[in-house]
Amino acid sequence: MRKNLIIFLLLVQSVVSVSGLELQNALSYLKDNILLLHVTTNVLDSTGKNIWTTELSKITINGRSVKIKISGLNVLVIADITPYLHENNTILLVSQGEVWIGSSSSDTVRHYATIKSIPVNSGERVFFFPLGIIKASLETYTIELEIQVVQNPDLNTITGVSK
Amino acid sequence: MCFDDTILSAYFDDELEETWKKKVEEHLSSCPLCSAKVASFRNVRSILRTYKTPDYTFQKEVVLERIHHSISSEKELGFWYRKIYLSKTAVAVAAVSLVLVGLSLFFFSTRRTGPAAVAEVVPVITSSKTDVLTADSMNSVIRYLNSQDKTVEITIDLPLGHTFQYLGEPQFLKEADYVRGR
Repeated sequence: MRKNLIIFLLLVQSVVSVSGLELQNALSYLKDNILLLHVTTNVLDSTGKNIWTTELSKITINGRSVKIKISGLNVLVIADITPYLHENNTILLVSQGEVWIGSSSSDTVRHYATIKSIPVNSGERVFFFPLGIIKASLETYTIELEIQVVQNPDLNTITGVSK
Repeated sequence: MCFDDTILSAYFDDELEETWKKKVEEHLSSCPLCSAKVASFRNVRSILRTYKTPDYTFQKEVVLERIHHSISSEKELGFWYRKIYLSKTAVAVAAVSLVLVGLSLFFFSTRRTGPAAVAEVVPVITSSKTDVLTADSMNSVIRYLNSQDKTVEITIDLPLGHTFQYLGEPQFLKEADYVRGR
């Protein structure tokens, strides 16, 4: 009886300690490999002036994509950003972009797609122009996405993400 | 007439009656042969007195062990069937210390996770106030990640009243390759 009690306690103790260590290791790994994707969406006029903006952040990890869906009156943009961590502390952004845009003069809807792998450093910005880069001669608006991936960010100072 | 060795030995060991003892003593005073035998007895005794008895402790233990083994009615038991005799105090102390060690390891391993909190994305327009994340625990991150599918999705609604037109191919540009307004 005593021996069984001792064996049971040893098993409980080992299970608790092993699970605790595993959890601690997992948390430590996750903390060191966490990525913050900060996205700023701007609507620019022909002069490049920012007339509307919105910012938000998403927390992700290595290889987990972030899909950004932007919908407007006649446009739908989907940007799929997958960050991959490299050994030399660089981040490879595999960026896919899809655009559906409706024409005001007809009932047609155009679809465009692009994909690009962009190596960046932590905190370096990448711009995505789903409708192309605006020209000063055109009196229209365009959409600009600023994408910034930060490795191992300070979670206490992240803006745009509420607890 | 000389006495035989048995009587001389008995005389030497002081085992004879007084009558025979006197007779032997009278004979020894006149018989060098018997005196020599008695002297040899004395010599043997002195040698034996100086002789040290060997230490047979080890042999005794071996023999006793064999005896115990041979008369033991119990078979040799395996580890799990052997009886362990511990005092109740020792068992209680061991149990309490094991539980304390386990609990402390568990506590320290989970202390950083803190209270559960789910981080949710809230789009923030520049003109409105900015929310600040105080996610001080990894637990909130894990819950946040687990609450999502494999793909994290953000939905942004553009302002109404603006229609957009196609200006060119969709482009991804690095910061270094783009300056706004050019």
